[in-house]
Amino acid sequence: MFKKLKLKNRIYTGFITIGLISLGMALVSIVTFYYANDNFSYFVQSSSKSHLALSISRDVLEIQRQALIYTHEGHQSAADRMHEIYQRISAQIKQENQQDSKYFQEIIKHLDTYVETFKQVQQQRTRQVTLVNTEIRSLASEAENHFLKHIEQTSSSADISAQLNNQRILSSLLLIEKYAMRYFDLLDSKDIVLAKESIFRVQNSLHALQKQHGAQLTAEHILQTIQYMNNYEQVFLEAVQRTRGYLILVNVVMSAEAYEIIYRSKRMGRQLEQEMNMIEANTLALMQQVITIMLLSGATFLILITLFSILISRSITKPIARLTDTFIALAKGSHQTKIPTYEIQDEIGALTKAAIVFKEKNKQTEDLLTQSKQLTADLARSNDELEQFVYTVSHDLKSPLVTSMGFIGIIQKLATAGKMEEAVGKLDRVVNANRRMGQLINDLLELSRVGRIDTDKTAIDLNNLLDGFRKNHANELSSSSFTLAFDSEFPTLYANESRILQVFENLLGNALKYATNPNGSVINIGASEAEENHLIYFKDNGPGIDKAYHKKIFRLFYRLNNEMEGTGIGLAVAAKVMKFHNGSIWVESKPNNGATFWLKFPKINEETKQ
Amino acid sequence: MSSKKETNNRTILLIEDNEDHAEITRFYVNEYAADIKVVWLNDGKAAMDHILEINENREQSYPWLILLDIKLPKYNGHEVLSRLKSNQTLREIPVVMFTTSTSNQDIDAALKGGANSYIQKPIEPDGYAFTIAKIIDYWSLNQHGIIVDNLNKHA
Repeated sequence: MFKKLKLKNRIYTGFITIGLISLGMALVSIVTFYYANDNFSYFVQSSSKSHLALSISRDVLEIQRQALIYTHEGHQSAADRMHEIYQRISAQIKQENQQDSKYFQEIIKHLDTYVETFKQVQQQRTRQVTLVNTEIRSLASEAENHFLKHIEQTSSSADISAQLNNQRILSSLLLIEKYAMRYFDLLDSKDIVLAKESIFRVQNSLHALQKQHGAQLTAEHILQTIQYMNNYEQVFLEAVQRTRGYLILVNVVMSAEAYEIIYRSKRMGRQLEQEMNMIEANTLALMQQVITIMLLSGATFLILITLFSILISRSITKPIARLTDTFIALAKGSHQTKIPTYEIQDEIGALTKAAIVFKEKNKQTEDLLTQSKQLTADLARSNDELEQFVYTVSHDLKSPLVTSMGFIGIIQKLATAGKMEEAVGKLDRVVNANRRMGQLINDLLELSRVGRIDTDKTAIDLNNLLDGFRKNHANELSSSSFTLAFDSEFPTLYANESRILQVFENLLGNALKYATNPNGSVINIGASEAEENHLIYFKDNGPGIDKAYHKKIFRLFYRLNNEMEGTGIGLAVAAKVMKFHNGSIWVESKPNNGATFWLKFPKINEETKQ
Repeated sequence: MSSKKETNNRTILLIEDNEDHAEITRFYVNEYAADIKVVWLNDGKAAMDHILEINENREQSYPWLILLDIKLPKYNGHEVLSRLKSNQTLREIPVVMFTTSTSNQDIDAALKGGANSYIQKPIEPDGYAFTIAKIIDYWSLNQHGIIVDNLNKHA
């Protein structure tokens, strides 16, 4: 995927990817941290709520205790303490800003009711205290006083039974007071029954006394006592009523409210505990999840990063390694090294191009080396040829000179000896030698012209050329009873006509010169075609040539037979002409079996002929 | 001349492809030492055939001296020299290379091949007579004449 990037960018991509992955991991950590933090603050909140709930339930117990103290003892300080606690709880709840909480609202509501009820209890209690401490006591003492006055008035007149009766009533009065006070002290309902029974008994006794006394003076005190007793009864009942009322308030209403509050705060505490447990479990689970996620993602990222690095480094190192091998091979000078294909335009692409250039340079160098070797070899051969040429030429040119000088010396000696006729006879030899030297010089000139003069090449139809050749030599052939036969059609060659004719002339000349066959000499000319060459042959039925001379005969001035005419230059010229045409000449022959001279011309395309 | 009385059956084998040169050499040899017979052969192979025939049949005398040209048809001078000098008997016959070649290559090859002398063909009108005389004089004084005589006597 990043194979299309430059190396630099590939490395950048790798680092950026690793950076992004790290950033991703950091983000995951931060999110997790915030989530955990939320949980924690929620936990702290719940904990404080739970703490508050506990504190409320404790305070409510205290309120209840104070309320009971107040109810039983009637101490104002207990009531004040209770109100103080109430104020504190309200303030705490408000301070904690927990009004929105359902439980706290309910607690407040119940607490308010509780306190309201307590206020009623306080009223009832105050009233009861007033009734008990003031009215009941005063009524009791009034009734007692009046009855004591009655006793006083009647003490003189009354008999013992009456007196006893009076004492009994008096003690009942005291008993009533005792029961009543005991009730208000201990709030035992039996005392009410006892008090009421005593009151009833006293009333009955008093009413009986009243009937006895009638309209007597003393009866007024009895009436007064009855009156006070009735009032006492009323006030006592009211006090009982009120006591029962606030006891109901305290024992039923307030207890219920307190219970509600404690229940709710406990429930809230439990719920908060549950919530907290949940949060804790959540947080733990979350932490575990996060740890798992972090570990998994860490491992995944590590694998990804490793894969990524491997991918990148492979994408870089593989082609570089391949190129290195290539360059090592190239450095050894090979131009056949396979250069790995690499089509991306990056640094390695540039290296690959360099390798290709390197390879081409190697090829060029090798070609140059080959050319240079070829040239050196050519030069060496040329030098050898030149040396051979100079050697041959100097020898062959010196030879007539030696002859001339030798005969001139002989002529001088003959002349000195007076043998003039003989001396003159030797002059022809000198002339011949000089003529021969002239001939050699001409031949050499001709040889030197091959490749220099008559170099223009044209398309030559060999059929026409050989027909003309045969006509030109018709007389010569018939006079020497020579048959010239064409074995085949001939191709069209791209060559220099006069040079080709020169070669044909030389070959025909040699055949004529050496012809020895008693059955008549025949020369066959034919053509055959190879893949890249045209082959022309001249076949004679002459004496043939030993294999040892098959190459030598093409050398300059090399002659198989010195008795024959010629300078030994014909075949050397033929070879040079063939070389000029990028062809060659050779002979196939066995002694006494004729000789076949082959001419090879390379085929040339129509285009390159131009 | 002393040469005339020392031997009466001396033959020079002239191996020379140039007819003119052969005639000139023969002329000067005859002029200087009329008793020396010149046998001329114009190619290396014919010369070797001739000399091997002498060695085989002993019907003719061994040549007293061989004048050997280098550029020859069939066997050239170096080949002839090599054949002569590799033969136990024929190697005793002195061989004088007598040639127009002045190339060091030829001189080296001839001397290494066992040629007894290397003489270039003169290109002065009076040079030929002088050269031939010096060759004959030199080989007349040399022990080789006696050795060749001995070869002949054993025949």
